[in-house]
Formats: sequence, C-alpha cells, structure tokens
Amino acid sequence: MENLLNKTIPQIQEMIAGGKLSYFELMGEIENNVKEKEDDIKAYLTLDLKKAKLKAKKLDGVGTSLLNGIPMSVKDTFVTSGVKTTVASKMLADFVPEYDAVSYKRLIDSGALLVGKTNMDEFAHGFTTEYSAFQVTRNPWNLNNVPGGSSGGAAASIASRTALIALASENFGSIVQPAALCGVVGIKPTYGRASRYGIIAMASSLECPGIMARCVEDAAIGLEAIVGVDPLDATTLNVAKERFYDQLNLDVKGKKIAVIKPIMQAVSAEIVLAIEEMIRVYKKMGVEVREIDWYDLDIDSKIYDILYRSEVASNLARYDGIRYGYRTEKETKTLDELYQQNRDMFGKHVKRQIVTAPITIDKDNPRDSIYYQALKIRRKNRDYIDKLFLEYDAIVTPATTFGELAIGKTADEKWREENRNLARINGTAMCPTVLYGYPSISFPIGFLKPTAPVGVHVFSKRLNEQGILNLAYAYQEATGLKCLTPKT
Amino acid sequence: MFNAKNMKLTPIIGLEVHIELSTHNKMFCNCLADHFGTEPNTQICPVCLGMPGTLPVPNKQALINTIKIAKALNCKINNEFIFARKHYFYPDLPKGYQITQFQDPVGSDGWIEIGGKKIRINRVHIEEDTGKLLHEKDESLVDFNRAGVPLVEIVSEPDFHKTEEVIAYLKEVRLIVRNLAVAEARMERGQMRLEPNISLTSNVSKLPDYKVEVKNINSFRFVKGAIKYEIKRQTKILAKGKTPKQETRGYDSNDGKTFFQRSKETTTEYRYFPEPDIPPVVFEKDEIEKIVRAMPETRTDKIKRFVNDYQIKEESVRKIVEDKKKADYFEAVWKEIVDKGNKDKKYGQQIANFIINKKHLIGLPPKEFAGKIVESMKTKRVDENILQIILGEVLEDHQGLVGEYKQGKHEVLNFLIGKAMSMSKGKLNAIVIKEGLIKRLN
Repeated sequence: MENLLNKTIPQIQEMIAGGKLSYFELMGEIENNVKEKEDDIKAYLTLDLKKAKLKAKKLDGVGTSLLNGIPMSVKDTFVTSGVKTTVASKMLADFVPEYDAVSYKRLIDSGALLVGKTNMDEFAHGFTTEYSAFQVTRNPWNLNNVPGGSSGGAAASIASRTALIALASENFGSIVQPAALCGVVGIKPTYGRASRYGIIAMASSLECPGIMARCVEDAAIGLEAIVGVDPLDATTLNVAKERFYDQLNLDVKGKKIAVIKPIMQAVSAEIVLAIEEMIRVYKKMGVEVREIDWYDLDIDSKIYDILYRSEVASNLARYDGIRYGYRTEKETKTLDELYQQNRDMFGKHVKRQIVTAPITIDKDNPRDSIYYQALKIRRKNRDYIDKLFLEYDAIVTPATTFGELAIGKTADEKWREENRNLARINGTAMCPTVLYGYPSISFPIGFLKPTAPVGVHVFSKRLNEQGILNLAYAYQEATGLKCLTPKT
Repeated sequence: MFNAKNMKLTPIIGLEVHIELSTHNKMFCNCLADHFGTEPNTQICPVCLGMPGTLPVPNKQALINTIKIAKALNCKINNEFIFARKHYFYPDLPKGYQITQFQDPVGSDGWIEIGGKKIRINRVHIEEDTGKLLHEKDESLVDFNRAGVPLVEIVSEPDFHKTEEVIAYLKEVRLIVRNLAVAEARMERGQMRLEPNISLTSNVSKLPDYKVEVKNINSFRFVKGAIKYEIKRQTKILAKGKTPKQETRGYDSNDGKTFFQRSKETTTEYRYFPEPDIPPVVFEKDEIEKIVRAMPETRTDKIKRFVNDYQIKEESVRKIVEDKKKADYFEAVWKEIVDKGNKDKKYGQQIANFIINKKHLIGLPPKEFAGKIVESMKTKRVDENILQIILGEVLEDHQGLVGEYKQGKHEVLNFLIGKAMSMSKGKLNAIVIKEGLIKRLN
C-alpha cells in the first residue's frame, strides 16, 4: 500500500468517507511500516501502537474530520499523560506524567492518534539527535546520515511514514533543519500562537511548538489544530483562529521575497544552485525576488547564546530528584550531596549549558549583566527586521547551511573547525524566527543527490502563517515536490 | 580606629515583612490558597509542583490586592509589573527558582506615619510562597500546599531607631492589610513573617557599612527579642573596635538569642532575570484608579476624617480606628444622633469618650447608645446653665472684688470660688467654677 501513504490527509479522509479504507486499516499500514523500518531508523523512544489500533477501531463508522484517526508522532519533549515522557534524558527516563501538553491535547481532541514519542537531542540541546541519552536516529534517506535535530525523530517518523503528522518544537532550527534533511515540510507558528504548556522547556522565551508533515496541506491541517489562545500559557496571543487548510491559495503573484545575500555567499555551491532553481520557479509564478544585505552576521547568534544558556540553566533547575525524575540510590549525607548525585544524570552537553549560565547574569548587578544587554539588543534587531517586512512578504534562507551530515561527524574536532563559518552562518539564518517570534516554514526544494533532499526556510512577519503556507504550497504544486519517498 | 566605649551608638533598623494574601487561589495556578491546617500535599497541581513543562499564569486578584496594599502604604504604583526568577536550591522550592519581582515592583517609594514619624517604604512586591519542610526523626518531608501561595513583601528603609517604633510600625501594617480585607496576617499561622535588619552607628546621618539580617521571625515578641539581642551583641563587637560581620542570622526563641546562618561570602547568587514565561502585566491607568476608588478608606485618611468631621482629639480617634468594629459603631451612633436633629459637634468627643471608657455599653444597639449620649450631654448643658447663672450672681454681688482682680489682685479668686460653690450647693466643682470665672473675668 505504498500508494496510500503518498496521499495527503484530505485524500485519505475522502477514501475513508467513501468506505474505501478504514481508520483501523490506516493504522495497520503504519504498523507495517514501523515493523519494517523502525529497527533501522529508531525514530521512536516509546511506541504505543496497541492503544492506537484500539482507538482507530473505535473511530470507524462514527464519521470523519480532517484529523480524525490520523496517526501522529509526538516529540518526547511534550508531556503526554499516561505515556512515558523522557525528553531523551536519563534524568526523566521513567517519567510518566499525569497531565497533557496543550498542543498534544488539541491534536488528540481533533481526533489524531498517538503512534509514539519521538527521539530528540537531550532536552532539545543539539542539531543532530545524536545527543539523545538513549539512541541515535538515522536519516530514512541514508541510514549513515543524521536526520537533523533536535526534532530528528519527528522528521524521521514522517519521512519513513510511521506517522502522517508529527508534533515537534522549534528552537534554533529544531524543526526547520531536520525537516529539510528528511525531505518533509515543517512549520512553526508565530511565538505565542500555539501554547507552550507541557513542552519540557529548554529556553522558555525561544521555544515554540510546530508541525511536520509530508506535504503543505497536512502541515496546514496540523497547525490549525494547535494554534489558539490558552489560559494555561500567559504568553499566548488572543488571535482569532484561522482555517489554514481551507485558505491555501496557489496565487502568489506580486509577492515580494528577500534572499539574504551574505548567507548565500557563505554556503556551498550545490545549496546555492538549489535556491537559484527555487528563485527561478517563483519568478515564473510572478513572485518578485530581491537580494538583501544583513545587519550583522554574528549578533543574533550571540544574543541567542546568552538568552539560551541563562534560560536553560534556570529551566533545568527543577530537576533535583526530590519530587520526580532520577534519584540516586546512594546514601547522601548533605543536601548539596543529594543535589550533586541527582543532577549528575544530565548529559555532558546539557551540563555545559548549565555551568556556563552564571556568567551571563551578574550576581551583584543583574541589571548590568550581559543578559539584560542582550535583551536590549534583541528589541533593537526585532525592530530592524519588522521594518523589512513592511517591504517584503517573506525572507528566505537555506534551511540548513550544511548539506547532508554523516552520523558522528559533529563529534569530530577537525570537522567542527572546518565548518565553523557554516555554523556561524547557520545561526544567522535560524535565529531571527526564534528570537523575534516570526512564523517560519521549511520545505523541500530539490535534491543534492538522490539520497539527500535539500530544503528552504521561509519566514515572514508575525501572524502571517497563511502567507508562508501559500508560498510553500504554490512551490510544491508547481514542482510536484510533495510526499517525497526515500528509496531505502 | 574609634573607641566605641565612649560613643553613643544608635540602632539603625530596617524591616522586611512578608504577608500571605487571602486570595481564593494560589499565585500562578488554580489550587486553593488557604493551606492552614490542611492535610499535607492535598492542594497541589503540576504547576505549583514545578512539574516539567508547566507554566505559571499570574492571579489577577492577587495583583489587585497588592496594588491596594501598596496604595495604602502611599507608594507610587507602577502600571507594568515584571516578574523575575530568583534562583536557589532548596527542597521546598519546586522549580529551583522563586517567581518574584526584581525591577518594576507593584509599588515603590511609599511611607507611613508612626507616632508622628515618617517611615519610608522602599518597595512593595508580590511573589510566591515556598512549600514547608517537616522534619521527622530520621527523614525530612515536604508539604507543597503552601507552595505558590501569593506573598506580599513590604520592604522599609532603615528608618527605625527603637524597638517600640518597629512594633508600632508592624502593628500599623497589620491593621492596614486587615482593614483592606486582603490578608488575615495572623502571626501564629505564619501569615505574617518578619525580617529585621540591624546595625549600629555613632553617626546617624551615615548608614553603617554592614547590616545583620535576622530571618523568619513570626511574632512581635520575638522580633523585639532579636533586636534587643543584636544590639547587645553588636555593641560588644564595636566596643572592641571591630565591625560586626554582614551576615544572616536566625532567632532562637528558647534562649532569646540570634545565631549565625550564613555570611555574605556564601550567599547564593540569585541570578535574577525577567521571568520569560510571564509577559509584563499591564494595568491601564484608569484600571488602577478604579481599584483605588473601590478601596476602603485608609487608616490615615480615616483618622483625618474623624478628627475633622467629628471634632475628636486625634489621640481618641486612634483608639477607635484601630478596631474597625469600634469605628463602625461610632459612625452608627453618630448617625442616630444626627438623625435626631442634634448637630452639635461636641457629640463627637462624647461618643468617643463613651466608646473608649465605657466598653460595657458597646453591646447596646446604636440607637440606645445614642440615647445615653444625648442624655449625658443634656445634664452637662444643664450644669453649664446653672454655672453661668450662679457666676452672674456672684460677680454682681461682689463688684468691688472684681475691680481688685482686674488690677492684678488674683487672690480674690479663691473667695469668689467659695461663694459660687456654696451657692450651687455642691452641684458644681471648684475646677469648673474656676475656669468659668477666669473666662468671664478676662
């Protein structure tokens, strides 16, 4: 039934409504894929197929709606009541919450069915999913490559068709980059449009839930379900709900998009080629494309780094092993010793973030600390980009400045040294949406080679999710780059 | 080096007061806030337990109540409140940080008057309370029912020099929050906790370069004891020519001594930064005005009004206003009297005197009480009439003596008093007669 999983969600629902398929059969198809591929790919930390199948059976014959019975994977950073939630850390290896993340709950309430919880870098710190405390996830297009990260399990679950929709979270390319490396669509809404309640926070002011799917239609359907003001998250915006899927529009004539020139100058020729091809397609559709300069290639990454470290250290302070999570079995004599033993369970990379945080906030003069200075510059830069959006409908960057990435590469000191500049430019591309809350989408625009899809990252002014969805949709329909299937 | 022995040392005392608000819900979740006497860990939820992924949502009523307190303490009210995280590790602190306020507290730069002295208030802010540790034989348990209960912190400037001032201030603050009906502030329930900071100086115009904080005291008596002990302890150190160390101490109520807890060097780095999970809370100007308008009269205003409107001595007013019941009773009685057409301002002081001195009458319905007041004033007025008649007659009979008095021969006064007394047949006393005579003679 390879064909079935090449269909969009609306097409599948149509089949079910027409009696050609049942939700139970759809879930059976997912189960087959899991059996066939999951041993190699290892996208999931926890699988819950038995329950999903039971629920699918109950849905049959009761009616359809867009998300009804749709197999869904959920990044393990979202708490799911009754289902283990580890955030890929030994700290929470056995944590089973009794409450739900709001985005997850909204998808479940819309009828989606949980297949399992997907792998990620521990506490979402990393961009390859290699820093999971439990397993390495492989890229379905090439098992020697990483799927990207931190939402690598989510992207791999979509690419390997073990879920049709994935709930993931964005923070410094956590959706954008794995979506590109796995040849799928990833979208994150404006900061505050979807509730963060129940996302195990890495850095509060930078985190945002988002959706991955095989095509723009499915992504729009998933996004529609998760947005909306939430009384449990004080940062959510009271904005009317939109019908992103119904309002998908191919007409993008007259739209103006900007390509950041210094980034294009820094990335490899093959990525530039792919983006140039994309520009050609857009121009043909009547989209205006301009190259623009950028204010400073390093400043956003630096602000990000300061805010990120400070917030990570703070958000992870609660993991003390007193109320939940890992607790040492050793006899400890003092409270400090107990904390030391318990908190030793964090991985090396997470620990590094925590211990470097204190330098960002001066203990005697917090207001003079670099954290506060970073906040100030953050406001200034936001105003700069906001102004650009008076002129442009969207800004375009590569979805990752790296091409395909082999597993183990990033641990190699020599590789890191050689790619320092690419990492720096990657920060320039990924930071604005995370720091300033713009909605962004990542979608496939072609291939570097048959086993390495390449994607683009498009972001726009706040609350313009529909605009970037339409741009992606028009491109997808013009090129047929949709529901891409890895050959492995 | 100075010799403290020969120097007059003045205590410099500041106060931090924590008061639990009596809101229905906790500060950042919907759990019940009233935790007194509850079964441990029965009023908890993922949010106040700091479970992974949970987020705080500020309780608006708690903010409104804090605005009221700040206003009653004559503070400037900010219209944008920013929450901050204060980091430290302790088992009763679920998130590893406390959500409090650092910059832009609810209120700042306030004052209240204590016995004619202005005590400046640095800031009034809102934060969340912690859980409670229960120490058993060989284990420690945590009860999180109190975690997340709204807590108002009132920080004074170091304007106190005497323990009596401190106690008067604390009583005043307690009355203010009770009068606002935003907190019960019952010390024995831990709803009001006190932290004095104490230092000594030989030069009052300059603050000493150290201070000793005594943490978590829950009674006026203990705060008195702690300050007394600290003054003694620090005096001894200063007498040796040394400076007491800047440190935090506890108070042992059993032996009335303070004891070392931690020094400045080992103080936690709190690493304050703005709480990213809560956007700044903005109150529009008219919203604040509305809150202020709906506030019950402050004690200061009430005292002023009683003095002006009812013509009562301030000393008497304070005795009545300290208890809302007495003040309300006063006004009910006043209304009864005015309703009967008695507009004489002198009734005010008479009602006050009765309420202060004849407590047994307070149980009466205001109408009956008012009747007694009017009765008492009548007798007084009769006396006044009699007095004037008698004085008139005495002066008429002894015009020669009146002339002598006016020329400076004041001894004649006693003779005139005696005459008046015998004429009144003991109904008037000498002092009243003397006052009346002098009035008429001048």
